[in-house]
Amino acid sequence: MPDDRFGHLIVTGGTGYIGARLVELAKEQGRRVTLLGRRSASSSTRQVAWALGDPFPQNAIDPDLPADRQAIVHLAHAWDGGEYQNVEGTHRLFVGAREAGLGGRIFISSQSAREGCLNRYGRMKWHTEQLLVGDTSLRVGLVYGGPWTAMYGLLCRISALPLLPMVAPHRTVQPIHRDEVVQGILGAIDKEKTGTFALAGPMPISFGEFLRSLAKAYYGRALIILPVPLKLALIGCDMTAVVPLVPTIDRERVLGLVGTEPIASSKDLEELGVVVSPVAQRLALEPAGIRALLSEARAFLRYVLKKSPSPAMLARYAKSWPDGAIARPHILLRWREPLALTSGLSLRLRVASRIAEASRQGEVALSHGTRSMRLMRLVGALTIEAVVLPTRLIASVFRR
Amino acid sequence: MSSDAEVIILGSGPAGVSAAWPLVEAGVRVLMLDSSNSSLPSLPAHASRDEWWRDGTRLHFELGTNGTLADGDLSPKLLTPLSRATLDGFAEAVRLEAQNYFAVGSLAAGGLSRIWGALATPYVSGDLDAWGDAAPEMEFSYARVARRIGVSGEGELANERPTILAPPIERIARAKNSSGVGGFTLSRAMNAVLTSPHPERLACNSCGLCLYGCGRGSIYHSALELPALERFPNFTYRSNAYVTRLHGLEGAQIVDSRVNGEAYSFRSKIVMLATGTLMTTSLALRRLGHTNKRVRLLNNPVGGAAFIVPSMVGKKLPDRSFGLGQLFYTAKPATEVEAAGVLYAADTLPLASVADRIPFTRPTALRLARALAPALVLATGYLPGQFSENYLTVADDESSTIRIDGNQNPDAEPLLRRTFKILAGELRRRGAWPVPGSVQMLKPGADAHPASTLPMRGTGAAATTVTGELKGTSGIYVVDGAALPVLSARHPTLTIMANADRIGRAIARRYGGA
Repeated sequence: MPDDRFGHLIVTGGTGYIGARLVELAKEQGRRVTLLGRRSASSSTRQVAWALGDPFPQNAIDPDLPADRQAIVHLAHAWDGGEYQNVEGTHRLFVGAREAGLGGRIFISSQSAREGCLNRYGRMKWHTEQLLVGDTSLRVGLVYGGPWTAMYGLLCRISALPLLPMVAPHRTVQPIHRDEVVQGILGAIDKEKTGTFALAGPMPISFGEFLRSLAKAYYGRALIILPVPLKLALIGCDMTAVVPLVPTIDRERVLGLVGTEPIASSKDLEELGVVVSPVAQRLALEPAGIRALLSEARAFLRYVLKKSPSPAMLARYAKSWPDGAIARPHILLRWREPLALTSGLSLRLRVASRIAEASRQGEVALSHGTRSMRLMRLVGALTIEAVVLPTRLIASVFRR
Repeated sequence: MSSDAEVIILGSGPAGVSAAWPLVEAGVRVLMLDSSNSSLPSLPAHASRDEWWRDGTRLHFELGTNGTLADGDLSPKLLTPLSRATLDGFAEAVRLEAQNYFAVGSLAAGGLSRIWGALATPYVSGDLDAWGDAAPEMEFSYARVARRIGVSGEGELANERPTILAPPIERIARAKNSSGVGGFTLSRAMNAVLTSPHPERLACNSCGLCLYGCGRGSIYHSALELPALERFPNFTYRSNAYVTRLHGLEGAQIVDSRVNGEAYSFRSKIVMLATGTLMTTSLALRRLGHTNKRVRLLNNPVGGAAFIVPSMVGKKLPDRSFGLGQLFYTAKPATEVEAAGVLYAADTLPLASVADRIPFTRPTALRLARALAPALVLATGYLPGQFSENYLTVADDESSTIRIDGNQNPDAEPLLRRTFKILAGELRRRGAWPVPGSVQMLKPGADAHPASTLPMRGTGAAATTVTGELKGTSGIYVVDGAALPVLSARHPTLTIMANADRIGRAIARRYGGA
């Protein structure tokens, strides 16, 4: 590793949703990592006991490296802690880190950091930022990707619902992949950027649209969103706390979403050296996205071939659709296949036929039997065409 | 900067290689540059179609290992992994902006001949009149080129046995009762395909996989000749040299290029342009300072039609086949207008090209296409270049963008329809029926025969002499399609090669053995 790189990261919240990936990637790059927090027996990373509110622990510093080539990344947030613990605790940590001479001091803030923000989280992030001097604050947008935990895990689960009641579905979010956030954090450290930066997707999209993308990419289906007034939603949240067997939804989370304002991030992303890919492309590469696309491939290939496709055929199908699965039902396809050969679904079925035809399985299916048997089967298939034509017509009209 | 060679040839396509032969044989020091910088995909080497069908890895030869497959509206010929790799990067490299024109070109060694249809038809005397006194020299060069590359089929230049015919085509060829209506002629297509082994190429084994590239080298492409040329000590070939600009310095020609991405200039007395019509035009017009002014670009207006031999529907696909043009026809849709075209069998094509036009559900469309495949005959029809009305402009700024505005004469479509009507009448007599609604007109440029931007013996500012020398310069020769004085309906490649050979011989006589 070149000498000017930061060789040691001290991370709070290093076992959390973003932190775990940061630690993993930093180690892959050959950096040393120290976790600040409650001790955990399972982690193989160097740990120093610390809790939000404690001063910066001097023993976290690696004596083998100059202090100005070491950085602290503060991801921890005490959800059940008060203003004092979060704001003052962070302040104390950063004062200590500054005095210890750490070259990089990164505070993970939020896109919702605003003085008059609706939720407490945004207000606390804003207050904390005001106390930072010569440090770096990264205002992170809606983070997705990786394990189904944190806000992302909740969104993945609720997008599986057939119908979703939702507060302010037109409110925009700026999704950014977890790996892109980590890239931004490391970029801020290595490029020695100080000040406040927006680490969020450059294009705001509506929150409903984001959830629909999730439903499409992970479950291959359309999500119907029912707008709900905020007051009603907050009452609903309070009820989840009392009704048994229903997961409790914190009103803080709901207010956090409603309270987010768009931020301009393109310039900041460029400065941090982060390229944010379109959400659909990233979702298609997530394990759930790959599973959904392969299941689509299996359904479509089986439909045209009337036989089970081979893994190579599934893989080839998946590789031809970088934007992932599409929201189309896979049942009763024959009765609802669009008449227009250029619709989204038709194009996918055409690709499936192309792959089926170029496979050994396809050749067997197509050349099977004697000439008269094949012609008889064709006559049968043409009869079915006449039967399914009316429903296909209706389906085509309703599709667009 | 020392002199790198007596002659520098830009481009390793059929024109460049054909110009190189007479020079190299005469002992002239030749340097050939092309911009190829990546290898092409491996080609199938299956002994028969049965082996192909049983091969589990066939998917990768047909569709490649990755990339999207949803652009099925293009000709199946342009969708194979080989075609994609051959065409890859050209439009971006030369900065092509085309309006209503389908522009293709190649940076690969061998250029577009890597994926050509291998139809090797000479021009007839009426067209050769455009060469003036040089017409007899053309006849001589046709024979030289045909000997070099090997031509199968029926005709004066054919020197290899014909390839096999697919059953529906055989049916059409067998019936001899031609009506003679509309000046119709029909013959076995002359293809640059070997049916007997040559030192560096194998004979056609009728595997029918022509579409995906011939792993045996039976189908000619010009990169196949590079090893033989390289055995001459006075021939040097350099790939990955992308030519950016030409200029003159103290009576010598300077070729500015990017070699492995770095700027490098070559120098010689003579430069021959064989980079393909579009790139050659760009280099020549910029050398002349004739930028931001439009020049006429010819192409062959083209259409297609499908025919069916009903008794063959549902038959088993033949195990041996041939995927290139099988029969060649000409017709006269009007007096003084000769159209030409080729009949192909559909049995070697991907079914998608048929299935994608059938509005049934996909399972039925696929099975119906398969039943039609052994009975289907596809025809192309081309008109002479005079019916095209395309204009090309090269920007004079740093980008040197090539802009093409495509169009064709209003008579072109009716003439093509009339051609297909004559063809349909003739084929009906021979047992093949036109498929209703199958006649389609293709976009200008879809023929991939761009030509005649710098016509020999032309009178405009952008023209060449009868030996291909760029007017207004000395020492720059245009030997590819850009110099054709006329674009007949007959495919131009053999003529481009013969013309390059003729110019190469003329230069060799003048400078050879120095």
